[in-house]
Amino acid sequence: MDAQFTSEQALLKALSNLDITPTMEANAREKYGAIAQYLSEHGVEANFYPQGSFRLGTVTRPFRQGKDVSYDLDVVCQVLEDKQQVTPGYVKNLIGDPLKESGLYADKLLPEDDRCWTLEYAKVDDKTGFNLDLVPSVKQDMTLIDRLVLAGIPRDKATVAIAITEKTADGGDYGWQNSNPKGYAMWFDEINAPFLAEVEHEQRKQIFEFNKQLYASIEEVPKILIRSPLQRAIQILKRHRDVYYYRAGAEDRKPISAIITTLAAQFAKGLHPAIGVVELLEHLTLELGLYSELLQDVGSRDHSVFETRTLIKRDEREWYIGNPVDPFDNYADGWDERTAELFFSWSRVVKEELVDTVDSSERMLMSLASSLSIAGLENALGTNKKRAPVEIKPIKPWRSII
Amino acid sequence: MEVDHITDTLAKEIYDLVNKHPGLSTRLTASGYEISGVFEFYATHNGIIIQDEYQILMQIPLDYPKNLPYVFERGKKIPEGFDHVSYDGTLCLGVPMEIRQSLLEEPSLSGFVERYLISYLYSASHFRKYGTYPYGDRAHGVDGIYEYYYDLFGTKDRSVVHQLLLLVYEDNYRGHHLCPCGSKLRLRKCHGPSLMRVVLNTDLKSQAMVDLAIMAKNMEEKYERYRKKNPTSTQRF
Repeated sequence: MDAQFTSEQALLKALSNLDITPTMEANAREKYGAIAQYLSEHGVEANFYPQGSFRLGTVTRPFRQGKDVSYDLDVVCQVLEDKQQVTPGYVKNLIGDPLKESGLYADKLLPEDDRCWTLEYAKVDDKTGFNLDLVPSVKQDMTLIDRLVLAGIPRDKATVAIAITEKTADGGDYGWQNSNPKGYAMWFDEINAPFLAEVEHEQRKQIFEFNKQLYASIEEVPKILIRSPLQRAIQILKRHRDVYYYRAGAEDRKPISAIITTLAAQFAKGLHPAIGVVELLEHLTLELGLYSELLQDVGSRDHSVFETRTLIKRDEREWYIGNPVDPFDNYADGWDERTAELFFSWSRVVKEELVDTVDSSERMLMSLASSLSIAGLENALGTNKKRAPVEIKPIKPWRSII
Repeated sequence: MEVDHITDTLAKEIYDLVNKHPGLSTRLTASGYEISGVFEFYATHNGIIIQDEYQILMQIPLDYPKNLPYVFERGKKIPEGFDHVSYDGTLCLGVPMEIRQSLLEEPSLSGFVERYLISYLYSASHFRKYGTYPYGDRAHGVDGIYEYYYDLFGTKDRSVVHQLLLLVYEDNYRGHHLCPCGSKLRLRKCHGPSLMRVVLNTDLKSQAMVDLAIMAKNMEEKYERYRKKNPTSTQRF
């Protein structure tokens, strides 16, 4: 052992730089609660609930165009109307209009997004803020819910499906899109539960120790702040993806977070609940490596290995990664060969940088600092630095033609 | 004797270099020193830290830094698509004039290795990982040479580069003459300073003349191609 800390500790240190703080998390909940209150006072009957990473506990500091940017937090506004009785444009503006008229919200409101209204809360603490995406929606109609059930989705997960609005043209045309954030969260929670149970007690104590101004007791620490190794692995992967695709000049081909979250959860299903983040990352990248062999025609095709691997499919030119609570929803819609190639290259780099470095915790820390773009991390944890990296004096490579 | 003196200094620099990089060893050959082995580096640029190693072979002429070393990579680790290895297998670390200009600040062999070799291998490792160049690359051949002079002289005009280099050739630098770039300023207030650096250093000057010859040869080739396509239009000069 060449250092006073383990690779797992290095990873946790990296995450502490990327995760949302309990204060900001509480602040965001307070903010959307107030919005719900305001809208209800203006006659909007709706349920508000977090979706995506905000709901799953996988919020990660995003990195775009070479910079850390504000957290993205999604909140569904499920309007209590019958889908058959309203138009998507009506639902979208039912939420948007009162916000535009509000003295409190109008100046935080960004220009209309295709699917949501975004309120910008810059600088919530001295370092950063968040964008609150309000997603107008209604309960899904019964025909489509029945279709999900017929396709094998358990009824409890199918019935919570919703229809969200989508602006299809600048002229103000809107359509419906199928979505099921609640069903997805139920699916994710089931897989995550054993991993979470394993660490819950210990983490509650820790979060309480560091945030005594927020909570009166250990029990008051909200469960959403607990991070299982699965959630942590997802956070690491999302951040690594952001940084990798920026450096590869291919931000437009990033795999969406739903792909990372879904595959990580699928691969983690049934693993020993006491697994560490580092081990889990290794497992995930090895799985992706097998898929890469299977789908990119490299390596030997051992059928016993491949016949059970059907989470990523490829049929002629179409790629398919299914939404686990809506098989008609293809997360890899729009992928081409280049997108797939980049995706598997990325997973190889994750393994190289965050798994293969695990034998030396100092190297792991350096690798985390670099690959997740966390300034100063390589000096954290009091490393007894033997040597610092040389600062490059850039010379552009050339080639003579003689 | 001067040659002995140079060689002795070089021998010491080689000793220092091999000492600093335990994977490398050296021997003397008829054409100069040869350094080979595993070259490790640990370097950072814009927050991207890369630790990597390459099997290299360096041939260092006895009159270094008058003549620059040749570097080869022997481990087949330069990534596919990283198109900066010449046909004879030498690594094209950079446009020679750019290397020479920068070597003025740090002329030792360690300087050469720390600056150009690491910069190049870092680019290669970055390319293997991300498929992109961390600080760009230069076009091949004469176009890359022009690119460097464009940067050096702050112009995008080939004829300005030609005229400035011709001033070096003619040994006719006069500060009070008008600058050939068309700025209507005196040379000393315009391109003079960047030109003086070249004029005053014999190695830079001879490199400038080599580059000018490459540019001239390139124009001549263009003329030949034109003549082949249009056989009746012009006469051979």
